[in-house]
Amino acid sequence: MTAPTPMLLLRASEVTGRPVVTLSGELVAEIKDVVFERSGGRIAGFTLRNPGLFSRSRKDSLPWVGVHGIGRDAVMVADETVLIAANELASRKQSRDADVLQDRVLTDNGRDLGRVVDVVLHSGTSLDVVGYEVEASEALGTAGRHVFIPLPDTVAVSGENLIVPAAATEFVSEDLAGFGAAVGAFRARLREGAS
Amino acid sequence: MLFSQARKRDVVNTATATRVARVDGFVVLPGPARVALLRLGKVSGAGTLLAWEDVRGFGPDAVTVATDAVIRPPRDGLEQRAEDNDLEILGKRVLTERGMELGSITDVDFDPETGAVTTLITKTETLAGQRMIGLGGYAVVVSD
Amino acid sequence: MNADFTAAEVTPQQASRSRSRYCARRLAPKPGTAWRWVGMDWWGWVILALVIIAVLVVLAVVVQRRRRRGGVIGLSEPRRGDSR
Repeated sequence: MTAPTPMLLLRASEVTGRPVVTLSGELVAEIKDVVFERSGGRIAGFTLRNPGLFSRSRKDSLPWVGVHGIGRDAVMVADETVLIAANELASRKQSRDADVLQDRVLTDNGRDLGRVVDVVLHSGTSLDVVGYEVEASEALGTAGRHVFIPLPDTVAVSGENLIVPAAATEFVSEDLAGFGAAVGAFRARLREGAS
Repeated sequence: MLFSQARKRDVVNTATATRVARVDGFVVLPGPARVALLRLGKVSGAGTLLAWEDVRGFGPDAVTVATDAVIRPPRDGLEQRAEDNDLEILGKRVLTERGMELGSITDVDFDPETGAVTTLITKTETLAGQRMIGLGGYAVVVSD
Repeated sequence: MNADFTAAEVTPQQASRSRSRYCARRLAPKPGTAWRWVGMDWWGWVILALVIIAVLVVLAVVVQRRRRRGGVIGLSEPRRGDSR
């Protein structure tokens, strides 16, 4: 990144399908999957697809270090040399099995909060996963509605279920606009608890 | 001078004082942004490109050349794309290097003396020519 | 109508009425349920073909949509070639 972008929350689904464009104005690909590190939540990069419904799949991917700028309308890269082989970012098996969409979110005291429908990203100097958008279960009192659940700085590594601290339920937002503050407040609470 | 004003201008051979072609379009290249070639129509030969260096004068009524021989076919891949209209700047979307779209180019202002592009014009913005860092098949890229 | 008639017995009117029906009769001399199905008028076959094509196209689009759908992949372990 050339310069820090203003603080911005966005959904992973908004990034999917964004064109990847070189600084010389050529279309390289479209974003397919967002790949992040479960510990820390940092975005590692993106898998790619070719534009067009019946296009062939791609063997390369875009690591986060190769991103020049990520905006509302495009992901900019210096040129095509920043792309790496797809399996260097995430293996085929990981791409297939480690998708968090539709995974269950459980609190560490065992309450099922619902299924992940989208992932909230925070765009600053880096791009990080800061929360899940879930279709709320009965446990949240807003059953069936989509709500945002904040994540701690270190996301628990898990298999089939995504574990969040029970305190996260106190910082649930119903809209993305207020969610940034909720993430901050939640993380501050966790730090207080730890000290 | 705007591209919209300069289009359709006649290209006149000053040696024979005859009209040899008509300006159909402009090929802009970045770094620094400039008119590198003119795309011509109504030509008699096979070529349709005229390099800016071969233009004697870009006047209010006509573009002059010393000889017809300077009107030529593309020499490399870039010029081929220019001839195929792939690099046409008018109508192309503008992206900032941070990935924000600023509309598409409706007109371009250039200096008829030097060929330097001074302003890129979209429906909502006027951007200084120096901001242009790339022009490809997909977009014009400008610095923030 | 005779069950084992030959091509020679078909009048030009019968032949022009439906070529597919004529062929079907040659292939299926014994009348039965299959007779009526195979002896479908030409436009029946066209509609059947169009329906099959439409189903295949819809299937292909659905499969492609699923293949192209983006996900959010959580990596559990540090990656190879990660510089950070």
